[in-house]
Amino acid sequence: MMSESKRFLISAYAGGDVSPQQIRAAEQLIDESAEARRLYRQLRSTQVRLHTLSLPELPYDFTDRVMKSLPEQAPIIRPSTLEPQRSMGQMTRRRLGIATSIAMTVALGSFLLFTPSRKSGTPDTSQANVSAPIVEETATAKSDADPTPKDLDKPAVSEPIVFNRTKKSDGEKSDTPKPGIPSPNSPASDPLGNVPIPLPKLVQVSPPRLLALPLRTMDTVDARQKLKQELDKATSHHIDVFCRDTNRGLERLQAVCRDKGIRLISDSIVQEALKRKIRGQYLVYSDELTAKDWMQLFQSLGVTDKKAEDKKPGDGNFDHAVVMPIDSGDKKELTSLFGSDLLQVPAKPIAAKERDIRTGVVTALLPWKSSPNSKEIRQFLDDRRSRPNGSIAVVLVIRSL
Amino acid sequence: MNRDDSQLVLLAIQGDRTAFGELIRRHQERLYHTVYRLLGHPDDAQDVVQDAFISAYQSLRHFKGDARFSTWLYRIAVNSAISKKRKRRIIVQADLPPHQRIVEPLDESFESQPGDALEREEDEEALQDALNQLTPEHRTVLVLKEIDGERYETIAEILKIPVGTVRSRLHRARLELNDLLIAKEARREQVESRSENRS
Repeated sequence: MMSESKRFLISAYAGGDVSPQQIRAAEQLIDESAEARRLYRQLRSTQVRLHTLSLPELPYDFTDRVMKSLPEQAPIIRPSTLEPQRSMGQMTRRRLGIATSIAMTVALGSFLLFTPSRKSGTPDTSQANVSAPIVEETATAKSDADPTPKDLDKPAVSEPIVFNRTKKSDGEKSDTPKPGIPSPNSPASDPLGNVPIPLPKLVQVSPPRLLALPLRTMDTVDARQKLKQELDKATSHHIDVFCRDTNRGLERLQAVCRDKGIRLISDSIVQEALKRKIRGQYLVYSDELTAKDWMQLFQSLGVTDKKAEDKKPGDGNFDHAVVMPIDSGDKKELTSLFGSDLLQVPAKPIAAKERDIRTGVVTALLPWKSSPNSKEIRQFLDDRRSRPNGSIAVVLVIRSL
Repeated sequence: MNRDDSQLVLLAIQGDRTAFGELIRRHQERLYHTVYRLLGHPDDAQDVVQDAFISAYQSLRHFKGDARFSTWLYRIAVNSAISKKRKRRIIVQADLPPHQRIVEPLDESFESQPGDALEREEDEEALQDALNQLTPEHRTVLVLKEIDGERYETIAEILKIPVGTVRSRLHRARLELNDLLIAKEARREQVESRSENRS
């Protein structure tokens, strides 16, 4: 029976979570002990089984269901929620205060409405004209003008007294808002006191380099030239190839590579996924092909696919190929898949007999990620040599539509 | 226009529900797969994922942005799944007489095997069954690492435990799962040989 620490070492080795010293120790243990070998095999097999577990589908209306169950109110931060809770006495006093202020406002409004405005110098006629009828809203020059002594001499009983509520004195302008009263033209402030949250500062960036080509147009010279020109612009690219069935897409790519003498090493997870017909996304990496080689690969894929579609509509598998520059996300992905930065070219010189051998590697992307410690990936990494002249690094991702 | 998660979170805080809808669409599948493997039941997993999104929406104001939104969301969902699993385990155990208070494997008699066509399905069932027998802590680490392919640092952030603890839990979980699968295989072989002897 192996000790716990040795079992841990084998487990770490199977998971690719080991230092170079631990790798040596684990490999030595595996060479010497049948029990360690058996445990390693079992752990790797369990890992593959876990990686290739089928993925249940969510109901098509799941997003809508969640959206409907979200509370109506947006989670806006309101300052009022930060105020401490008031006691019952405080609440009562507050309500009484509000009621009193409303009553006072109504009383003041009524007073202003029914009380005549007085001008300086205007004689008080209220005493003399108690019985005179009051007529509102008919402002006349006569009524507004100061009464002459002649007028005053006349008996006032027969003349109606006219009050003008609409006309204002010369010093008063109708558009000037009184202090404390919001102007109807000013923007309405939030009655709840919400402070608007400033939008994030947007940084203007130059549009990224991007070329999208339908794969089936690759039989035309124009499309091929466009692709070649795009690939010539840099020494590394990310290409997304969209297709209906990623497994069929990968199988076609493998077949085309075989025809052109390109060795494509498939990781064990990829092999398992293809065997079990589990659909996933695949990442192909190669830095040993030139832009012309890639153009010819795409041409073969496009022509075959077009023939299949022409023969029986719906049999075509590929959609667009999108060429982009490699970004930091790709670099991270490559490092997590291969355990090292593939874009850093090893300094090992290429042997003369190996010059004609061009290699690429296929790994599985999420949800079944390949392990950087898998036999196939390690073989690919061990065999890497410095790039042939004119070659470009391409991360090709086969994605489903 | 493609916005990253933090921009969508900001818009959702300002009341843009469609921005939150986009966040749901982005993360629902992966979250569901993880929670499904933690719970082993599709309906329960859907409930937990739905509740996680609702909790996240209600607590967006508490999201400080010092972690990724997905990590924060995973933390909510995983904690909810673990507590749900614990509760369920307690209920199941309490309903059984004491001598049966362990999780029994499914019916493994040879006659109950439907044939080669469903071999893969059975294989998955056996694996899920073994996963269910692990402790929630071990199962969570194993699912996040081996099925989701998360990094140790991310798992540590989700579970709020040190990276060293993640490593040790993972190794224990791997070895435990391996032992469970071997034991299961041995039982299966026993049943098969018994059935051959009978016939």
